[in-house]
Formats: sequence, structure tokens, C-alpha cells
Amino acid sequence: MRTYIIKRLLNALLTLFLITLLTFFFLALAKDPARMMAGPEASEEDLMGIRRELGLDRPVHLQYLMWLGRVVQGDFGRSYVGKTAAINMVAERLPATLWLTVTAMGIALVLSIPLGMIAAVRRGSLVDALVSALGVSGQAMPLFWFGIMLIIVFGVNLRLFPVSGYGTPAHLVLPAVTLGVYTMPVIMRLTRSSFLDVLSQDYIRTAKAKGVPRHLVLFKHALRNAALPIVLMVGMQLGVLVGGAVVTETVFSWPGIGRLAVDSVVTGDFPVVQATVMLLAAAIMLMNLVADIVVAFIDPRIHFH
Amino acid sequence: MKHSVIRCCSLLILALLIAVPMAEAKKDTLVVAFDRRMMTLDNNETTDRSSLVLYHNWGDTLVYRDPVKREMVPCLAESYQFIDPMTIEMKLRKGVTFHNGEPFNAEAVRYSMEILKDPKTLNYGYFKVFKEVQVIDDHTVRLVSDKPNPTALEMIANMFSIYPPGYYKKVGREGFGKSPVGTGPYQFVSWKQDTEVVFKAYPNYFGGPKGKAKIPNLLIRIIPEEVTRVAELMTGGVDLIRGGLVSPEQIPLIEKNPSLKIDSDEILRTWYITLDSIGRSGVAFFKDKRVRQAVNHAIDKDEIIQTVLKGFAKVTHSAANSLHFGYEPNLTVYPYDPAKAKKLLAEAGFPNGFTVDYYAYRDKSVAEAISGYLTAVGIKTNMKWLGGQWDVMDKNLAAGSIPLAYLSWGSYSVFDASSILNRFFMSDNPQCYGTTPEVDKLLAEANIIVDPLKRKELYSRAQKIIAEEAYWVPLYNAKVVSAMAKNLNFKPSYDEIDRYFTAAYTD
Amino acid sequence: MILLKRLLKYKSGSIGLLIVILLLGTALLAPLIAPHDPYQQSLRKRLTPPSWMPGGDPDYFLGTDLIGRDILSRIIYGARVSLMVGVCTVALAGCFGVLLGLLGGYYGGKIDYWVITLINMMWSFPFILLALVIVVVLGTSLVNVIIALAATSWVSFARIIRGEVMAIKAREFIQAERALGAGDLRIMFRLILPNVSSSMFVLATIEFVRAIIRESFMSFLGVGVPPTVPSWGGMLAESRAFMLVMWWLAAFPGLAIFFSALGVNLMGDGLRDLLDPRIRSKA
Repeated sequence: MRTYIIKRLLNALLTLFLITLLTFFFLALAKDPARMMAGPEASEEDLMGIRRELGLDRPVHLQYLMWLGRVVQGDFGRSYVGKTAAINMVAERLPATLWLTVTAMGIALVLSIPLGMIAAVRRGSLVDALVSALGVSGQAMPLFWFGIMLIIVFGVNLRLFPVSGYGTPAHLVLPAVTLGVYTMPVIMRLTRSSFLDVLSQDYIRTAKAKGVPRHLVLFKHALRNAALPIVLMVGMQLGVLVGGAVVTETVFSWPGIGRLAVDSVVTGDFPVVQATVMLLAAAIMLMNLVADIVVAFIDPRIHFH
Repeated sequence: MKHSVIRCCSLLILALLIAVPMAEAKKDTLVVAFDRRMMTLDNNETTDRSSLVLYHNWGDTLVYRDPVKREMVPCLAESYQFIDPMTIEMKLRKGVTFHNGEPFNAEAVRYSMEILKDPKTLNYGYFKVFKEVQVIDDHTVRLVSDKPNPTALEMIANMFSIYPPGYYKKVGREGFGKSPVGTGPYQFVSWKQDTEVVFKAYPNYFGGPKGKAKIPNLLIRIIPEEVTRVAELMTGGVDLIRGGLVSPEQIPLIEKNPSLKIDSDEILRTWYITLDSIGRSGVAFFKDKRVRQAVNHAIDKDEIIQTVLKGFAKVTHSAANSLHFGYEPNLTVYPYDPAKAKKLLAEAGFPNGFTVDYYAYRDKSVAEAISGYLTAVGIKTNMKWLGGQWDVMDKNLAAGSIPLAYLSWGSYSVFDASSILNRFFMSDNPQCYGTTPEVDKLLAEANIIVDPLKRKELYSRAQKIIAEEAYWVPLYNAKVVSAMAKNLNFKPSYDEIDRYFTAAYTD
Repeated sequence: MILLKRLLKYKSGSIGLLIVILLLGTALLAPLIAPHDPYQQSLRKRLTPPSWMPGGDPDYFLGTDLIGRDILSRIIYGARVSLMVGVCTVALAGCFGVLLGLLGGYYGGKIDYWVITLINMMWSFPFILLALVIVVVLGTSLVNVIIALAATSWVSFARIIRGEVMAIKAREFIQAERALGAGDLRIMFRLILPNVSSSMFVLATIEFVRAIIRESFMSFLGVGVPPTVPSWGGMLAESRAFMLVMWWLAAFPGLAIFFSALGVNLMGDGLRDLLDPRIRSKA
């Protein structure tokens, strides 16, 4: 057990190191940051000055080490366009994205786990067919189209919720539902199949045969055992969720990291892109690490895989 | 199972309860939709029009362009006079205070010019021609230029931001951009970069030609998606969409809606196609004049205006705008003639046309229509769509990497042909993709004389050469379309600077 | 063929198959069935509603787009682009992912460790940001969009195939072949690969749908295929601003995406039921 956790942690560190490599080299070498920083009127001399200042005239591996040294201290450099520390720009927007993604994940879980359970228990019934149709269509629907439809139906026609913006719980409803529905199908499918797995296990049959009430069998025994793969899946869905948040935030003018990242990529504001990508990747990796370790504690049969 | 049903239902009810209070309408706030985040609110530190528009609402200039009378009137200055072609003397208005209580005086004007003359300031290039501000007494200044400066008043009315020295020194350049203080009808309250900028009416505003703000609060909301902006307008979430941020295609929807209306006005913005006629981008096709003429003949400007722009524009053949001083209407015209375009291409050695990268950043319908017209004569385009990102386009233009692009230029709301011709046709400018030594000379000369007749003559000659050489395809001068709530009394301005302080509710 | 027959036994699977065949047919026969040139603009006829609506033109069954191109023809040609995006992405990502999965799963040890680490790393990047960066750095074009999509979708292949290979490797017939002196390459590609092919097919359908949907996201964010190229995602993204005014502009490309995704999904579901009931839930 302990060796597994140590191994997993070491692997996480290595992964993090690779993430820094990719983030740095892909961006820093792709375009000339000095040109991006300087105004359109800058002369070649100005550019040389900026390059010297940033250390861009040194060999690449040294640049990377310098960059890494600063990143470890939480310094991603200054935003070319925002003229403030990139890390601060990301931090300011973190709460909005957290609200959105956590609520969306909540909605996805609340909808998909019961639906997946029903589908599994009533396998082959009309309900099962409906649930799987829902799952398939959920996956086949472009997220932004769904979001705009929600705006038109619930914002413009029914006037139930504000169309866009940030601040009150009412503002959260449409974006969170959009993102939740986007995340739902995969979790729903998994719930259904893990439940089918569990329900066919001997101990469930035994429990049923012993006359344990049906809801107890379902909620106490089956759910507990089906929960492991679901926990792992939720961890793995985080990247998808954050990707979806990028689109959702734009549709609903939601002031989160996703919009910042898109704006920064397009304007070539690389310190902010690096900060966003690094932090998101590190966060998602950490969550997966935690999920792995939690599952390993609950179910020690799982090895390092 | 039952549990989850109950949970879902209660969640829905909760959501409905939350949703109710939003129906309340507040009529003491003007909510305006903008399209993207601003990097700074300091007008000296950006070329973004959003910041410029806002400056004229929270700040004032020494002279003011009255959009109704279409003339310059004194504003923070009480009066002004040219002592000689290089010197303007201004008597400053007395008793004016900045929002933080600092007095407005000669020192504030001097210090504000000092900021603009600092090479660290992004827009310092525009004020190179001004030498200094001489303080004569506490309420008299002289603005001195190096050379005769014919557009001095235009520059002062648009871009000479007046900042409070004490506050600016205290918070510094960056601090000021985050929390600006001026003398204007609205005063800054707060700013969340991705969501909103909040202003309130400045109670001690001196009035002057702009007048006090009529609506007590101003809220700018950043809404990047057009459909979301329109939906917000329809549901009362915003009262006004900044001019130019509503496509003509939305007009039927807005006109059909009994609580909405549109208004429009002609503006200084010129839309055009730029061709790299000196091969800066490494693409040599447009070095040949016949190819440039072919592109000119390939585009049906009238059709674009009647169909895509629904008549909210008029054809132009000049690089300068018809509202500019120095505009010349009588130029070489290239009528729509695809057959001639093909012939010219064949003469230039491209009987089968060629393929070229083509950039565009706004007005996607027109951008695509242009690509279609070019394809029809054999010029195939790899369209690079920069989705509203003007700054990216601007950087690429300056870097010399654009062979062909559909662009627009608003001339910084300076009503003088120099504001567009100098930028794009003087050879020392990074935005220049083609000029002749003669045009260069004409423009340089016009920069430093003040005699209007003589200047007009020089600009006329320059425009004639530019049209003859077909460096651009000048397309049209469009009107700005503003969509707003029906009960809002607001006129868009011909200089593309919205004056929110003039807006009022009718009920 | 047997597989096909069995697939037809599943109702949803056969519906999926039907949609996929329709999709393929449309793409292949586009020049024959499209009533107009999809690039031909006619500004005077722009934004014509579908033919059955007031103001419609019988020449343009689904109406015309922002610059007067026939929407039906663009959707028909769009099938080519969307199929190309889907197929190329799956092919690129599949080859790379399966290869890594095979190597990691078969050799284990150090090689596997690095494969796992790579998978963990890619899994941590939000796909859309990575794709965005790739396209912004390389420039917008159909090829670069495919590269960006493939760069983010090989991970599922690698992950699942690796697991399968590990399981198969331990089976008796492999051990027997090895004892008979079969080389690593032969075992991997002649013996193991055919045994994971069913998973590969199912994964391919999943990743195909993802590619089409993600291509529309990229168009939405302004880094998709160039706007003149008829792609469903591009058409949908381009008309989204007018969903309140002219619903049909976005509705038909949206439906095209929806139905092809649905079709491929259903076909994949059918395949999964046939081949390996467990695989789908893992992806």
C-alpha cells in the first residue's frame, strides 16, 4: 500500500515536470514573446532590449530553468497585455470557474447517478431505452448550441433566469445546467454499467435471497460498490469539464479562467496562457491522484496501473 | 429513487424562487453592453476604442467636439486662440475639480502632457509633434508644437486626456489604469475586468458643453457573444448595445420588438481591402499594379452595401473618409467588372489566378463575400479569421505579415485626412504596405502647414495617386447602428464615441 | 459480414448503421446530389428562409446562408469535411494511441511507466486549451485542426488498449506462441492486435463523435476550419449569433451534427454489445 502511494506520488511529480516542459517549450518557442510584448511601433533595438530583459537571448535550456525557478515560486511573469502578474489574473477568476464547474458536476451527478441506477435496475425497459437515448443525444449536441437554446427558451421566452452575467445564484443556473448536461452522459453510462456489474455479483443475489429490502440492497450494498469506478470517472472527467467550461463561460459572459485562457491564447499573452494551463493541468492531475489514492485505500486490490 | 425525484423537484423550485426577483426594473442605471474585456481604463495606454469611449464619459478634454452641431467648442478650456501656427493659448475654466477633489488647473494640463510625452506611454507617438505645455498662470496655458500643427485641435479634442497630477503620482501608471480619476460627467466606481465597469454621475460636474449626466448610474457589461448581447437587450438586461456591436442581420428582430429600437449615424470609419504592394509579407502578386486593379474590379461594392449592410453604408473610392477634412471625391474609379479583372490577371501572368492568405477580423459576412468575389475571378483565398481581435490584426499588420486583408480604420475620431493617410501611406510607418515617394512628400508637407486650401490640395493629389496606383480597394463608409430600449433617448455619435451622459429615459 | 448480420439484429445498432451509410453516401456523392455549388455566393439571395416558409425559394430547400450560399449544398459538402475531420483524427490518434498502448502493455516495466506517465500528462490538459494553443501556434487550416484534435484524442486509445493488451498477454495461446519462438513484433501485431481490434472499433466510434463535436467548439472559439470551407461546426458557429432571428441557419447544421453523432454512437453501441460489453464504459 505505502509503496503504491509513494510510487504514485513520484509519478505525479514526473508528470508535473513533463507538463512544465510541454507548457514552456510549446509556447515560448512558438512565437517571439518580445514582439508580442512590444507595441506595434517598437524598433528592432527595443525588441533586443526586451529580449535581454527576459533572458530570451540565452540558450533555451537556461531559459527553461530560469522560468521553472520562477514558476516554483509562483511567478509566471507579467501578462503582456494586462500588465499585471499573470498568476493574479488567474487567481482573480478562479472562484467563478470553481462555482461553475462544481455546480455543473453536482447537477451532472444528481441527474446521472439516479438515471443510471434506474436504467440498470430496469434493464431493457422503456426507461432504460429513454435514458440511453438521453445519453446519446447529450453527447451528440454541441455545447454552445445547447447553451444558446437555454438562453432563448429560459431567458428570452420564459424570462425565468438572467440571460448572462455573474453574481447571484440565479445567474449560475443556465451555465451550470449547460455544462452539467455536457458532462452527464459519460457518468450516466458508467453508473449504469457498474450497477449492472454489481447487481450480478453473488453477494447481491445472496442479500436479495435473504430478503433484505430492495431499497437497502440498492442503496447500501450496490451503490457503495458501484461508487468506486464512478469516483475514478469523475476525476477523469475534470479535463472534459474544464474544456466545456471554456465554451460555456464565453456563451454566458461568465468571468472565469476559461474565458481568460481563450482571450490570452488568441492575443498571444503567453505568461497568462502558461499560468492557466499549468495550474489547470496540475489541479486536474492532483485531483486524479487523490481519487486514485482514495480508491486504493477503499479497495486495496487495485494496483498501480 | 423517490429521494432523487424529490431532490430534483426541490432544486427546481429553489431555482424558480431565485429567479423571481430579476424582473424588477431599475431606471436609475444605464446598462450598456460592450463586446470584450478592456486591458486598461487609461486611454493613454491602449488603442482600444472601448477605453477611448469610456474616457470621454469619465474624463474631459480641453476642447470638445459637439456631435449635434458638429463643431469644436471649448470645454475644460474657456476659450482658445492660435497665437501662431505652432502655439495655442488657452484660458482654462475655473472652479473645476477632479473626482477626487484635486483642482483642475494649468499644472494638471502641463502634467498630463508630460505623461503623453513620456516614451514609456503607449500612445506617446501621437503627441510627438507637441513640444510642451507652457504654464502662463494658474489658468492660462500655451500648447506649443515643434512644427506648424494643423490637426492640433483634433488631437486635443480626442486624445489629450487630462489627469490629476497628485493622484496619478500617487497610484502610478498601472494604478491609474485600474482606477482612473478625471473631471468628466461620470466618475469611476469599480471595474471587474471580465464582467463590468461601474460609474456614477459626478455630483460636482461643471456642466459645460457636455452637460451633467442625466442617468445617475452607468454600468458597462462585457458580453462577448452577439446572440447573448441581443438576448440581454430583449430581456432588459442591458438598455443599449455599443454602436457597431449589432449586425445588420439583427435589425428586423429589433424593429419587430415593441420595446426596442435602433438608431444610426454616419461615422468616420472607412472599410477597405489592403494589398501588400511592396512584398513585405513575402507575397509578390500584388506588386504588379494590374493585379491590384484586378482586385479592385472584382468587388461589387454596391451589392455588398445593398444586401449585406442593408443600406447602412455608402460606397467610397478614396482611402480617406468623406467626413475627413481633405477628402477628395473625384478619383480613379474601378467599376465592378469581373471580366476585366480576369483579363488584367491574365495580362499580369496569372491566367489561372493564384492562391493567397487573406485576413479579416470583423464583419464576417462581408469578409466572406469578398473572398467569394475574389474566387470568382480566380484569386483563391486561404481565409484567416481573427474573430474580433483587432489587436492581433494590428500587430500582424505592423509586423508586415499581411498580404491581403479586409480592414476598417476609424481614424481615432480625428476628422482630418492625415489620420488615415499618414498611418497607411507614409513609408516610415509600420502599417504602410505601399506608397510612392511623391505621396510620402505630399503627406509630409501637409503635416506641417496650416493653410486649409493648400492642405486640401496636397491631400487631393495624394488620394489621386493612391487611387491610381490601386494600393487599396476602398469599399465603403458605414453607418454605426445602435440598438437600445425604446424608452431610452440616445443618439449614436458620428465620431463613434458614445456619449452616455446625454442619454435619458423618456418615462 | 457475420458481424454485420449480427449488428443488424440490434435495432438501435442497425439504425446507427443506416445513418452512417447515409452519411458516407452523402459525402461520396456530394457533387451529384448537391443542388448548388457550395461555394457559390449570391448576395441578393442571402438569408432566404427554407422553401416551405414564407419568403422561401423553391430553389433553396433549406434556405441560404449569410452570403447567399445554398445551405443544403453546404451541409451535403460539409459531410465530406466532417467525415474527413472525424476519420483523419481517429486514424492519426488511433495509430499513435494503439501503438503506445501495445508497447506499454506488452513490454511493461520502464516502457510502460513512460507510457502511463505520458497518458497521465495528456489527460491533465483540458483538451480545448491544448487544441486552441496548437492551432494558434500552427495557424488555422483544416490540417492543423485535425492535428490539434488528434493530439488530444490518442489518450483514450492508449489507455484502453494498454489495459487490454496486458490482459491478453497473459493468456495461454500467447505464451504458447512465444514458446514456439515467435518474435515480439509478430506476437504484438499478428496475435495481440487482432484480439484488441474490437475495442479499437468501439473506441474509434467514440472518438469520431468527439472529434466532430470538438471541431464545432473550435469553430466557436474562432480557431476552426477556415470559414469559407463548408464544415458543419463552422456553419453552426457562424450562424449562432442569429439564432434569435433566423433559427434555421443554425438548426440544420446542428441537426446534421446531431444525427451523424447519433448514428455513429448507436453503431458504436451496437458494436459494443456485440463485441465487448465492458469497453464502452471505460472510455
